[in-house]
Amino acid sequence: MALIAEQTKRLINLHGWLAVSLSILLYTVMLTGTVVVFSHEIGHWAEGKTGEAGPLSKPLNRHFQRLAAQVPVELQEDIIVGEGPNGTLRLFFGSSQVRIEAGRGIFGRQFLVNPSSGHVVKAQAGLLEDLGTGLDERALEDFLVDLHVRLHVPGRWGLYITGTLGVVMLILAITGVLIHRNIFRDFFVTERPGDRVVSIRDRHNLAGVWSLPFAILLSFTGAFLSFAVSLGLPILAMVAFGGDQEAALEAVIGVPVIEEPQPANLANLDTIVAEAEKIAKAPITVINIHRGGRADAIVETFHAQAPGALRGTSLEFKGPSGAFLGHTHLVGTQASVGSTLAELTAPLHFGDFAGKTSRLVWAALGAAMTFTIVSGMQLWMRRRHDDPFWNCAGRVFSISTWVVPLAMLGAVYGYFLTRLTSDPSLWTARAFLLVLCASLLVAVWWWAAPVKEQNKRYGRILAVGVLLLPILRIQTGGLSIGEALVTSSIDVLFIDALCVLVGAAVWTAIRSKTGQLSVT
Amino acid sequence: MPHSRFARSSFLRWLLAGPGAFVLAVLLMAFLPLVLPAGAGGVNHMVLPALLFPLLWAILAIAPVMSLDGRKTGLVYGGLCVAAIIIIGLSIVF
Repeated sequence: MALIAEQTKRLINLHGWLAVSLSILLYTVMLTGTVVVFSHEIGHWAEGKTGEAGPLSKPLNRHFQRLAAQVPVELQEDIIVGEGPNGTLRLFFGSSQVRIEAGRGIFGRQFLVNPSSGHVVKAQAGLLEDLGTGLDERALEDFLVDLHVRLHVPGRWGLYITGTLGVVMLILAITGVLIHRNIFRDFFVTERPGDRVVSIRDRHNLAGVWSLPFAILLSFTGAFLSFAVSLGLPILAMVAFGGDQEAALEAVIGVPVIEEPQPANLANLDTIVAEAEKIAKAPITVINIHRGGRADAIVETFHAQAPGALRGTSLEFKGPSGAFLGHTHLVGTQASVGSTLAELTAPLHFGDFAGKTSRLVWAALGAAMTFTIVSGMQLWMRRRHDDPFWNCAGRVFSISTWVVPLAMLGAVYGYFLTRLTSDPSLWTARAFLLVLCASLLVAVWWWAAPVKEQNKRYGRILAVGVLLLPILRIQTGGLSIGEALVTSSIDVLFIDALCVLVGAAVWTAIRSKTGQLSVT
Repeated sequence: MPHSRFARSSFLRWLLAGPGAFVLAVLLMAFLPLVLPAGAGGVNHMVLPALLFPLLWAILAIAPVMSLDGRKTGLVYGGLCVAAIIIIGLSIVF
C-alpha cells in the first residue's frame, strides 16, 4: 500500500512516541514474558524435588471419604482435590453461600494429608483465596507469571495495564509494517559497521521484521487474555444480562442446571480418576467437585496436555454414579467456534503446545521482541543525542534495562534464601522490590559515571548473579547435578544450563560490545 | 482540494486515535453481541466481540492517523458512537 509522505510521517510519529512513552513497561512485560515461557520448568527447577509421583497418582478415595464425613454438607458445595506442599494431598471443602466477616468468597476447610498414611498434616479454615494452595515450592513460578500477567499490580488494574500494553504492541507492529518500505529485504539485512545511526536502524529493522508475526500474535492473544475477564465480561454482562455478572459467567462457562438436591454418596474417586486418565490420556492435575453430597453432584477432572495435544483437557462425571458425561469446554457447554478460538489463545500465547521445542522458539522470538524495543529506543535516543532531555531519558531507559532483570534475579535469590526457613511466597516479592529500590539508589549513585562504564558494572553483577544460581539452588536444598541426572530431572538440568548460558552470554556481551548496549 | 486547518489539526487526530478509539472499541464490543449469531454452542456472540476487542482498538487507533481528512474520520467515529449507544440503550430498555 503506497502511503503519501504526510501519512508516513504521522505513522512514524505514532510508532515512535507510543513506544517511547511506554518503553519501560513494554520492555518489562516482554522480558518477563520471555522468562515465563519456561515457567513450568522454572517451577520444577525451584522445587528441588526428585521426579517422584504426585499425590493424585496414589489412591485418594479413602482419605477423601473420611474427611468428607467430618465436614458439614453445607461446606461441600465446592470441593477441590489437588496437590499440596511437600507432596501432600490437598482437600478443600467450601461454599460461596456462607457469609463471614472476613469478606465474600468461597469459605471452607482445607486439609493437607499425607497421601500414603492418610495422616492430616495441617487443617485450616478460611476463605479459599486466603488459604491458597499452600504450595510454597511454586512461589517463584507464581511470582514470575504474576509479574508478566499483571505487573504485580493487584486486582483488575494490573490486567488493564498489561492488556493496554498488548494493544500498544499490536499498534506498534501494524504501524511498523506500514512504514516499512522494504520489509522483505530487511529479513536479510546485515548491520552496517561503525555503530552509527544506520547501524542501529539495521539492528532494529532486522529484529523487528523477524519477530513481526510473533509480535502480532503475542500482543493480540495477550491483550485478549488480559481484557476477556477484566473488561469484556463486565461489559457483556451489562449489555446482555442487565449487569448481572454471575448470570453472564454462568452463560459463558455453562454451569449445568440439573437440580437434584436430595443427599447422595459420591462414587469411588479412584475409579473416576482411573477412567478420566484413560479417556484424557494424560494425568490429572486437579479435581473439582460441584455440589458434593447431593444427587446432582458433578466431578470435573482437569488434565495436563496429552502427547500431541495443543492444550490440557477437562472432563465431567456424574457424582453419585461416576458415569462419564463428556468433555467440558472453556466457554459454554457445547463445542463452538468461539470456545475453540478462546481455547487456542493461551497455548498460542505461552507457546506450550509442542513441549520444549515450541517453548524454545517462543523464548527466542520473545527475546527478539525485547531486543526490538531496546534497539528502537537506541535509535530514538541516538537521533536526539544532543538534546539534554533525551540524553537524560536515554540514561533512565538504559538503567531500566538492567534494573528490571536485576530485580527479577533478586526475586530468585529471595526465594531460595528463604525457602528453608521463612515464607518464600512473601519474600520472593519482597526481594524483588528491595532489589528494585536498591538498584535505583545505586543508579543515582552511579549517575555521573559514563553509560558504558555503568553498563559494564550492571552487566557484571547480572552475569555473576545468574551464573551463581545453580550453586545457590543446590546449597539451599535443591537436587545436586548427580541426583538430577539419576532421577532424569530434565527441567532442573535444563534451567541450570540456561543460567550458565545466559550468564556467560551477558558477560561476553559486556566485554565485547559495551558500546552497543548503550542507549544514549 | 486543500484540507481545513481543523481537519489537519494534531489535536483532533490525537483525540480520535487516543480516547476516541478506546471508547468506540468498547462500544462496538458491547454492540456486537446484539448482532452476531450465537451459533450452535450459544456463545459465539459473546466470545467473538471480546476476542476482536484488541484488534478493533488497534485499528481504530491507527485509522485517524492514516486518514487524510481528520474531520471526516471524526464524523464517522461520532456517528458510530451515537448509533452504538442508541442500539445498546434500546436493547437494555426493551
